[in-house]
Amino acid sequence: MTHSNQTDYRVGDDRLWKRAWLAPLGLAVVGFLIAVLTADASRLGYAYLFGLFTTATFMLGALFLVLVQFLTASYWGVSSRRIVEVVMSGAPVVAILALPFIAGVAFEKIDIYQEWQSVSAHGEHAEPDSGDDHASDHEEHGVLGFGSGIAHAQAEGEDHGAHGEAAAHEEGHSHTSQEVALHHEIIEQKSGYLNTAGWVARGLGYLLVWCLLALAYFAWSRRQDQDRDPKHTLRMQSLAAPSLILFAGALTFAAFDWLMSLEAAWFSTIFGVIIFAGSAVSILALTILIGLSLHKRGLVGDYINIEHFHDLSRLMFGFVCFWTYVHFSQWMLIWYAGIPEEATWFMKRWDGGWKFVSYLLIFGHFVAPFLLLISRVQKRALPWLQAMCFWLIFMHIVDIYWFVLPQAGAFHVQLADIGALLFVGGVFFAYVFWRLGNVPLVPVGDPRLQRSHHLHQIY
Amino acid sequence: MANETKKPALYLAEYDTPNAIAQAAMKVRDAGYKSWDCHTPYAMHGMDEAMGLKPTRIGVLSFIFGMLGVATAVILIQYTNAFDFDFLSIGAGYPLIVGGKPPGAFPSMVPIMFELGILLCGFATLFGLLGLIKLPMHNHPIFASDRFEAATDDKYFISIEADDQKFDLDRTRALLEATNPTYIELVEQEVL
Repeated sequence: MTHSNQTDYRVGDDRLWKRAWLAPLGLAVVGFLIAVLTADASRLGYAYLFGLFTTATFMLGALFLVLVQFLTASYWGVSSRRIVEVVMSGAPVVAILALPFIAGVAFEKIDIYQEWQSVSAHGEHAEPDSGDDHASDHEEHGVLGFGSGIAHAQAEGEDHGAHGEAAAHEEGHSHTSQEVALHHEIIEQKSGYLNTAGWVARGLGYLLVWCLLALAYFAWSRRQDQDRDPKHTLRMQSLAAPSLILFAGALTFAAFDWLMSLEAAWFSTIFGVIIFAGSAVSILALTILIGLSLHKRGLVGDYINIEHFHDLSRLMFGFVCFWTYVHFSQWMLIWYAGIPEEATWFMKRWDGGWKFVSYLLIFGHFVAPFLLLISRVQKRALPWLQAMCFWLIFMHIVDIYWFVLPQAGAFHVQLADIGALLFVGGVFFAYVFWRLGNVPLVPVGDPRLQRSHHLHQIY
Repeated sequence: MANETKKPALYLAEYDTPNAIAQAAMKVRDAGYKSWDCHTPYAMHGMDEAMGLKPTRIGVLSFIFGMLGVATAVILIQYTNAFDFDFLSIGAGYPLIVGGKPPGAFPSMVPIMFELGILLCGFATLFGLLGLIKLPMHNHPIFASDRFEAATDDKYFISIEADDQKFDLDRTRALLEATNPTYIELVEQEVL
């Protein structure tokens, strides 16, 4: 199993992993061509956000897993930590790929946030304006002016405009236009937070936080490979708690800004936690898959063995349940309150063919993995575990798809969506796999490595 | 040795080192004994294999009872809150509308399904565990041995119980003696 000439556990001349980075790079080129050739401008924003955020969640999950292992001073995951660290080290790639998106939103070339962007922009000009002929109808004008993503609301607004004062007296319409006004009011009240300048500044801040944390932890761990000094471990441990707070804040607000604000009037405080839970599932599945391949090809000797896969899969199983718990909590609260402004987000994920995807998530992201991964026997059957990890990564992609694309309309998978995912994911994983080929595959300098190597699951 | 009011309860063999008891445990395991145990001052890695212990079945029990809890919740809610149906004259439920939701709506059942599932799962785990390890047990004949007190100090013991099918006063003693214990004792139990 172990090649005697490989003392520092590197990819070396392995046929697969030496060139593994070429595959995602090829996919990225193909994805780029698909997206550019097939996408119309209105779809591209959603598709790119989907690809970008899906990719980012792998990196975020990795950052979390590294930080939490140092926070708890755990040894079980030390030997598989390098795989996670390498995924984490792709943070700058995510940041670079996010820049065009942020710029697109900043200069309003990407119109997916128009619902609040138009309101906040309107708000700036909304103060008494002598040049406005309709100054007295200001409130009403505001109702008409915002570029709502909801066709229904827009139609009502136009209707209202056409009939002027008369519409307000029509029983059937007055209620709806009240709702539209309320909807608008909510967005207007949010404009202190949801405005283009703030959104851009915060977005850059999140990327900066992730890049700093990821690069610092990766650099310290790499330095420890060379000098084998335990002081790096101590430093990483003492900084883990504040780092995790920064990480969690950035992730939560990134989820608010990038995903939740697609539906500007809607709000949910547990939103970021759901994204975090999905991220953790995806990175654990990915770590197991990469680890299994390295293990099978004898690249890590016995440093990552069935005991580590068992531990990783247990944590993954736990996060599958946690994902379900937070997702269900959010949905259940909204379901039993039954308030239109809250339910609208879920209606968009139910109508127009999305019902099927919602069911797929319930059964594919929870019921099936719960029953198929609950037993020790299932977790330790490595080909079985491998299949489940592939499935869970697929379901995680569906999960993010379900967060983003319903905002663009009825369920209709377009080539542009797949293209954008392949492009962003491809570039990211090309970098990650290339990096994996250039570092020791286990953190050879970590003082807890031997303990981790001798990990043993008692029943 | 045995008089009329006492009968053999177990053989107790004492060892000085963890290595010695691990070697001895493997011999006892290979001899096919089932009702025996090792007593060490601390948890020893690798003893499961040395003793040939099989993985516990407690998880299966927990899972079955967890699912039973889920099923109980579904049946209870559906019967009492969703239908006006009298099963075997035990009393009919009443279709209950809460918050304008349909009676017995699935989402409203989930928290109860979860709670009852967890409750029965927890019960099954706790009581199943107590049953499997035979607790509560008020006394055990092994405590009749004075030397056994060192099991919580610095000595390692193997006990082979008399109710084991392979237990035999001479052959079991011979087996234990072959494992080079520092001390060997037949612990007796009072019959009356």
